[in-house]
Amino acid sequence: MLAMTDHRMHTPDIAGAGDPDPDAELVRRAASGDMRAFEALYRSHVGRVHGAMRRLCGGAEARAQELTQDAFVRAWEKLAGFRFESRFGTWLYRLAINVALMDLRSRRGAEDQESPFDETTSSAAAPVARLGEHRIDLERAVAKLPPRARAVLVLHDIEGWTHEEIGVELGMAIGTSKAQLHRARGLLRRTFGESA
Amino acid sequence: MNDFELLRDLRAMRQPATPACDLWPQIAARIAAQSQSTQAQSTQAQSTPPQATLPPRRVMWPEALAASVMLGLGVLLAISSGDRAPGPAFTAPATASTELPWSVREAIALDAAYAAALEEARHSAPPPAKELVRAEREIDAAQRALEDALAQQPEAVHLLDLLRRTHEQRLRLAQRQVRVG
Repeated sequence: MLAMTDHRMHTPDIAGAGDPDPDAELVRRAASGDMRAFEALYRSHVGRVHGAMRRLCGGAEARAQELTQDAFVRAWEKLAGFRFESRFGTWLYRLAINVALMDLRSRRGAEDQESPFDETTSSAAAPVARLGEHRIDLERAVAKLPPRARAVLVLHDIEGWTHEEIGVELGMAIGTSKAQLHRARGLLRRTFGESA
Repeated sequence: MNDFELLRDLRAMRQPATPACDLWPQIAARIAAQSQSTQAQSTQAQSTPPQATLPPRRVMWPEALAASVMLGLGVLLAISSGDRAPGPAFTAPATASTELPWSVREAIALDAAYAAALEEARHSAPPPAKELVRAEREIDAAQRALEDALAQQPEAVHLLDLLRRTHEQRLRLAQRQVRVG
């Protein structure tokens, strides 16, 4: 069993407490209707947002682009309510993740049943031979996970969320989140020819 | 790969990713379309007090506006029915004309020039066909939005080109009414 710890990578506000938000001025201007300021915020944060969308979508670029667009449109709609209680980047990132999870919830059932991940044969997959290919292989393996298992793995092991947070956002019990994570890790280990 | 390596490698996947194409034009167009929709709803609700806090009025970003205007002009002739609305007149900021930015003065001149041509066309035209009335209103709304945006962002001089094209479209519509009549 992996000995995982929560690394809270999604809460940089804690580490950056006391530091001024570098986006504060742009946020104020954007909140008053300045689209150029909002574009600057988009340019600054699109990479982080789109990266998260891609991971949650299993690398499906077109869908990730739709979700990234949705996230920024939603951010524009809600910007007037931003209270500077966290950094804008953190607020935006969290909002974007929620947009992706809402999309995932709306597709609940269909995709899990049509998962491309073959749990019966993945254990026979050849171990990764070359380190240079490992990263790509890992991304592919994560992308092939069943959507909900992938979401839990991405949120917990990559984005740093807790099971409690995942449970709330995905509408599942904490135990279910843990079970999905266990399932996802097991599938990855089998893909890479390792046993726990 | 052991467990430690797996976790390490998963964490390393948390990297930014650049979209395959620039998503900003679509985002800006969607925001502009929402702004127009919100404004239309606000206009319709003027006779009744608001039930909740309305979102703040947004200043339309010029390129987003351009996208929505082009979309509007593309479908305007397919829209039907409605009451005739008077064409908009550009209300310049309450500043002496000599103090206005060049772009705003140019917009006022455009408005005046096309207003004369439009009035002449209207004088010769019968009452507009129903299918054209809504199109007129769409163009007028786009024109007003462009003028508002230009008044607030006078440095966005490329809005003038859009404004000119909107005036031309409006005039062509009026001339079409003459031909139909």
